Amino acid sequence: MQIIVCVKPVFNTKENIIIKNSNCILPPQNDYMINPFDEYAIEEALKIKDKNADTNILSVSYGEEKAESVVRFALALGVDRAVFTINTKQYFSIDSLRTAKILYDAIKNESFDCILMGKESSDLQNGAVGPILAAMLNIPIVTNVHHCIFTDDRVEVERYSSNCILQKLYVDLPCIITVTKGINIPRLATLKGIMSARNKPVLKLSEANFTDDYQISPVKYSYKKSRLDCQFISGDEKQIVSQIKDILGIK
Amino acid sequence: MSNKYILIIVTMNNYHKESQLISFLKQKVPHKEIRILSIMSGNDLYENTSNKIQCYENTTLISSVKEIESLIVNAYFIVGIHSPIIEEIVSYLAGKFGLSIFNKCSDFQYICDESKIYVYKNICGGRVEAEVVLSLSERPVFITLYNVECDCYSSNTDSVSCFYIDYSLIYNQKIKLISDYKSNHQKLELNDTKIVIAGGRGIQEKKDFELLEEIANCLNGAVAASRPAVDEGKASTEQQVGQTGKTIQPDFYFAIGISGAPQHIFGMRNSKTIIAINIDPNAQIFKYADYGIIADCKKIIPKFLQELKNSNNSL
Repeated sequence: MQIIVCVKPVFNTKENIIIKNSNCILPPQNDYMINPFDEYAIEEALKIKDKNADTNILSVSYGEEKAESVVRFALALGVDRAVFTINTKQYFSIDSLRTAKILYDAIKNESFDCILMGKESSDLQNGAVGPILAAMLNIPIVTNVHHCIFTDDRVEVERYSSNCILQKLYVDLPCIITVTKGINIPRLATLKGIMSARNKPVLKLSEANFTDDYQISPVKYSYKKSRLDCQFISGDEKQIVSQIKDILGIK
Repeated sequence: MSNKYILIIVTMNNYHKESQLISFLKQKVPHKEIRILSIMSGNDLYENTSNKIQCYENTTLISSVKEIESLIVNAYFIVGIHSPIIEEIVSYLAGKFGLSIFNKCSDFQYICDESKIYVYKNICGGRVEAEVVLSLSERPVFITLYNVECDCYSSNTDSVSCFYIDYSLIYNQKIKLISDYKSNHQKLELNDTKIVIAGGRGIQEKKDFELLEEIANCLNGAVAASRPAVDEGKASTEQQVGQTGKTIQPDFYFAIGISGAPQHIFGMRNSKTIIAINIDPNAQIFKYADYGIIADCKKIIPKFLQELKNSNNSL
């Protein structure tokens, strides 16, 4: 089976986000980390490979040169080879359509049975690249999947679609599945995996052919207001509960 | 230009949200025609169609993707209320027709004279707000809103044309819906409730989590949990708030026995009022909370529940 996993390098959670000139977010000062939801996608691909040794996993990423560490991390976990399109503008992209076009360009000549990725990234939180890519490839997509079983020609998936509605669906292959927490428990990289990652092929591409979407201009970034200092409530249990009720506005 | 309209995308499971969205748009962008594209699936299509659809003046069944294209390109913009399936469909359609898409937006401003729309979205775990300006002069854009709060008024459905389509048609029948049903796990959708009671590692036992459930019931709220609590089996994955869980913005968020690690703050930082209860005075959570209570939650929770029950009884 041929599986493609989309792996996004994102800002580390603890990283301070620095905005320059109100219109640009600077690249992180520390290392990038792998988008948490993409870890579940990689694990799901590895689980398939555990069962079928002739599974080949390709990871595709788009990011700054420095983000190669994330690509190597995916290889260390067990991905076989990687394609990495390098972002030379060093800016944070809010344009999902453009990102999808870049990923499409990277994989358009690959044959695959399924594309896996996390349901959204922890920085842009748009969740759109997967569905846009599916539309470009003219294949079906199901998002937010927490359970999937692959058979020869289709995938059986479960996901919450909205308002606590649980859906069970059958999707024809080839398809895209975006995954969420609960689908599996991601494994850790082994020392052997880290060593072998050094020799695995990473094809680097340039994004020179892609211009910005003319529809979007310009973007303004601002920090969300931080809260005032915490007001501490004291007293015995009765007094504390009484004050909580006041805050909630109930008698 | 004058025969353009605002297109809203809904699924039938979200009927009350649909009314809210129509009211919201009528107030926000008055005097513009509103059309609805309703995605139906499974049970809706065969059982509820006639009931729901009858509310609208004009209803049309769409049976080809070409008809969807015509509906979309003639809209000023396309808007929906966020849910996983709406986000999926809206993003897929955006990809199909080469249009921009922004999901989980907090707000938008449509400037008709300039044919522009300003879209506001929180990114990077709620730390940064992005304001994006999009030109609508040549092509529409897709946006989904995190939530809309708006009172519905009853004459909503006057002069609103409704188009409906089977979910499978969007994907050329390559996806088959086998079943859908309302899960018992969570009585209320976390994104929808105004009051969320969240428990963390500081809640030692599962039975104490059940007390949170009772508190939530008294307040018509929902229970959430931090990742450690979910990993320890005290709460379900669907209740997890944080970087690998849900991002929510309720009016009130109680963080009980939650230390306040960045990965959790990620999911609740933009709640309107955060009340933290933790026995550790140095817990990080107090840096993000509006109100702090340094106490043993094992003592506060039962007292809180008792008081709420007394209030309810005395009504």
